[in-house]
Amino acid sequence: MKVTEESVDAIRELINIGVGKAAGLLNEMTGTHIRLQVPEVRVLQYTDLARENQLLEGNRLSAVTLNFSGPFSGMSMLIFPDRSAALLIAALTGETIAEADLDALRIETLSEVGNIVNNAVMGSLTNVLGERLVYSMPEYREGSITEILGRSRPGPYDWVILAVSRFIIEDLHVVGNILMVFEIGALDLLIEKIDRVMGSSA
Amino acid sequence: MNPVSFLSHCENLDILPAGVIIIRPDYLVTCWNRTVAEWTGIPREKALCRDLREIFPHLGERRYALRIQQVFEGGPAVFFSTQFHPHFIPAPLPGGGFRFQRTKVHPLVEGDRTYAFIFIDDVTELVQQVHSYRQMRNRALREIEERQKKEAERKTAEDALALANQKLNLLSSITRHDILNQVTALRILADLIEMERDPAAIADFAGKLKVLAGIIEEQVDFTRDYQEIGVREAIWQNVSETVRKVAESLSHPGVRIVNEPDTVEILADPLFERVIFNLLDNAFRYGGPSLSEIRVSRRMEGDSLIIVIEDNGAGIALPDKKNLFKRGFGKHTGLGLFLSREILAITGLEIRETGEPGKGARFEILVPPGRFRLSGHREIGRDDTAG
Repeated sequence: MKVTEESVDAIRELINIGVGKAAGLLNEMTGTHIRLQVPEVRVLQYTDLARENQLLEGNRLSAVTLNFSGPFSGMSMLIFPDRSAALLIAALTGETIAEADLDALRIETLSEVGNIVNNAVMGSLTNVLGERLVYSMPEYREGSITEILGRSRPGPYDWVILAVSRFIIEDLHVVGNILMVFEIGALDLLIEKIDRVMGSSA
Repeated sequence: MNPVSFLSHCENLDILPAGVIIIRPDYLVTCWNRTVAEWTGIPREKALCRDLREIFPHLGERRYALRIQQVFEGGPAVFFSTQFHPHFIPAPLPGGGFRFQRTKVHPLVEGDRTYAFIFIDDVTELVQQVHSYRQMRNRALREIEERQKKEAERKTAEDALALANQKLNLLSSITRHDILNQVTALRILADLIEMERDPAAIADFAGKLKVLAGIIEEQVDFTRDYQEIGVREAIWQNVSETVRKVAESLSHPGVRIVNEPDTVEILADPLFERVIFNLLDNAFRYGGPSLSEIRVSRRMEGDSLIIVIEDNGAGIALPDKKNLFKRGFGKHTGLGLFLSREILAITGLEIRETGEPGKGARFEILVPPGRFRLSGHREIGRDDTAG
């Protein structure tokens, strides 16, 4: 599959629209001024994902996942490195968290943040493309990237969109990553549709 | 559209211990299960076909409405956490307060219509358990911190006790051994004086008696000084200022002391002045006829500061160097340099002698990082040296 710079730009724009909406919702919900930025979007092969040591290292990543199926199928997830999740929750809730300890209530809180971001990004993609997808229940997972992906239906995954996202709350910068893992052929379909829609709107 | 098309399903949902509400895109209630009726006190027949926002006005707020709208538009399920939405619908508890809730809103498609299926879990017990767990955990962390603090205090007390014991042992050994030696010598001299008839020899013995008495006095002085080491808290002291004060108190005709005013300060026992006194006094006593200058300077060695006190006198003979700081070694009482080393060690400072025999003595005091600064608290860098 050939992914052109234009296609990546279009995906970046759609993800940015999504995270912008998510930031707005988080602001309204928490009363805290949050900015969400996506400084980097890359398309890579699923088999290369485990090599993303810089962004996905650690044995205690926290992820909120969402499976989708329809014209293009796969899985979307918001994934945080160790400690970042606890830092983000502390900043959003005003709690003092002595250690990176995620108890049941904090996991719920993170799940809601992940739910907002995943839904907004998926909403942004499907709205522009005019597609309807079927979604699974959102799920919280913990572990290394291999463990997190391993708990999914062993789909014949193919390509991945990796969007580095940055939550900025006052002086705090927390990095999370949005991963969209596509089943074989799904990203081709998505890009084809994006090109068609962007082409017709150009 | 039949607003109660889910009524039969709704009755099936009565067996669930969770609250279930189903609404149409216009928020008209089409299902209100028994749990919700029990929680809210609003019976099903009074809730059905009513706008949910009329029953619970806060659900019309953007933070709810925007997300529920996503569900009607075919988006994924929406999750409302206990943290941000503890009471999705007000459900009073019999003993006061409200139930804590965790809520999910799913799309439910019937024909071409999408409904919102609101599933509300009562997590009051879980919230209480988590809060108790957090309290327990915080208490445990505080206790650990308290124990560590007490352990550190115990260690400090033990160290102080060990130091005190060490001093006591030494003092006792000095008083018993060293002073008794001098007293024995005094007795011998007294016997000699009794037997001696020659006035010149008697005068000579009397002179020696005075010397011995002087040594005993110095040993007693030493015990007092030694007792005081570590008793008072370490303080920041200006090195050149201390040298200046000590030099003024000592008579040194014909010997120039080169001690440029400097702002370097070290953290040392208040008896540091005694160290400088010993070093200068030793130079005057044993420097010999060639002694004409004592120079005080400083330099950096790695991250440590080195204070150098050197002279151009006779220097220290090679065989003497290794025993120089041992108690009892030396030409006089053998206590001065030993005491100096002990005083410096209290704050982690070390002393060594690096001079060349015949060319002069050179004492170097090694001050580790964190134990020296310039007045005004500026740290001294590697290139910051002064003579």
